[in-house]
Amino acid sequence: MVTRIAGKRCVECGYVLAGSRLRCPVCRGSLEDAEFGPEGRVWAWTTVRISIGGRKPPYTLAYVDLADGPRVLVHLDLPDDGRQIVGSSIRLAGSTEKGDLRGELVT
Amino acid sequence: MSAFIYGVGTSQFGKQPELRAEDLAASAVLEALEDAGVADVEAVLVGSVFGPPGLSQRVLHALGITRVPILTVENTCASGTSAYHEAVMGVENGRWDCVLALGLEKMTATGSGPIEPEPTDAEGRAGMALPAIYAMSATRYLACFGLTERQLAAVSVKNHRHAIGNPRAQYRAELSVEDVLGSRMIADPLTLLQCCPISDAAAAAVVGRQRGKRADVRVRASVLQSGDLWDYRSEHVWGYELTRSTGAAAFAQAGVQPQDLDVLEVHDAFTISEIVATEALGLAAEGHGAELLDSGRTALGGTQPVNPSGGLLSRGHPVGATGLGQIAEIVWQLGGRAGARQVEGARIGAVETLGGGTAGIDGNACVVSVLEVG
Repeated sequence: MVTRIAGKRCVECGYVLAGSRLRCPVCRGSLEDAEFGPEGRVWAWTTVRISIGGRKPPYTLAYVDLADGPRVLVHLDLPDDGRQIVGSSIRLAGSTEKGDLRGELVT
Repeated sequence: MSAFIYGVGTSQFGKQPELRAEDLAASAVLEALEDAGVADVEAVLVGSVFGPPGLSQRVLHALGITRVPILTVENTCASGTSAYHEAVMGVENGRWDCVLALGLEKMTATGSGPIEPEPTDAEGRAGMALPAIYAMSATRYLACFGLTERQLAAVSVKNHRHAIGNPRAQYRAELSVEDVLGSRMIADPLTLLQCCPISDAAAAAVVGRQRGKRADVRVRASVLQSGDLWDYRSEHVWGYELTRSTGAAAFAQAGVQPQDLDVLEVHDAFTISEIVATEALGLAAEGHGAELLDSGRTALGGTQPVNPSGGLLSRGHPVGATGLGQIAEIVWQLGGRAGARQVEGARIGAVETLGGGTAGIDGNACVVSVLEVG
């Protein structure tokens, strides 16, 4: 499943964000609805291996810079083989059981 | 600036479930008052994160400190230095002549495991535990700057070795790089021995106007900043720009260059944190922080020791108490009172504390203070 996410774009300065705000946090201008994704690149990532926040480890998190939009936190299904994925291409792919944004590596 | 530190005190750092918050606070406050030669203060600023409500008044009235204004500050990991900063500014602005800053945290009262991510925070809700925030920086550094896992581990080896000379530190051990890398993985690439431990402790400082005592330590600068937005426009890892900006403002206020500092206590919550902090403070260029470890410059015996106390990694990280623990260490260093971990001839030192955990910004607060022999 390929997904785009809902967000906002500032009509004054063009700043983009995922989710919603009452006004642009950069210039305080008005916001209009926007959609972003599904393509993006991994900016940074980690695999969490401790039980925390009611979650079952391990799970992999990544900051993903969407090609046309904001930097978002994404859960990735990743083979646990120690690979380095900064800069890798990913595609947004629905959400996890807990409702988190989910992505998958584009190979 | 016109403020001086008259005296400091701390409790032991560590998991101390048998001690009450009152006991920890008493150790720090009574030592600081005695060190300062002061019986009364005009106000108390307290840094604490996990409470409970009323904590400050509860521990202070038991010491006979009543009626004066008592204010509690929460700025996550920078709470202690935020309280200290407000104390300094209160003296600087003429509001108070003599004030107590106290950092206090009883972390074993709220659990024995890692700090839970905050469910009301967008990233906390998505499972972004504190080690994960810093692990993100580490994977970025490994990929972009050629930082190696062995260099990351070297931070932990150095700071644990430093803590051997600090009888109040939580963990004092000679470790090898292999020990650090072989410990349990917490959040790739950070292993257990690259993560600060939760801790119970208190630390305090008495701050006041110049009174002509040689032992008083002069506050050359104190700056507190909260973070700007951190988003897709940010080229640096989380916290870098806030630390750089706060450090630059503090060094300008003090009229010093980073190279002038004889000793520093920085916020090494995780190994990567010390590397990023030392770069952001200007000890090394961005991406070159590990060279400070390779050359030994930031180890005891080097020209600019960083975290002689053992840092958060080894002294422990009782969140709200940490900043004042850092202040106490620098005051002891400048007074030639640091025992086996003394930096010979230290005259100018600095403290840096970084609080985070709020998604979307570059840090909840960063405090940088520059101190000098009076």
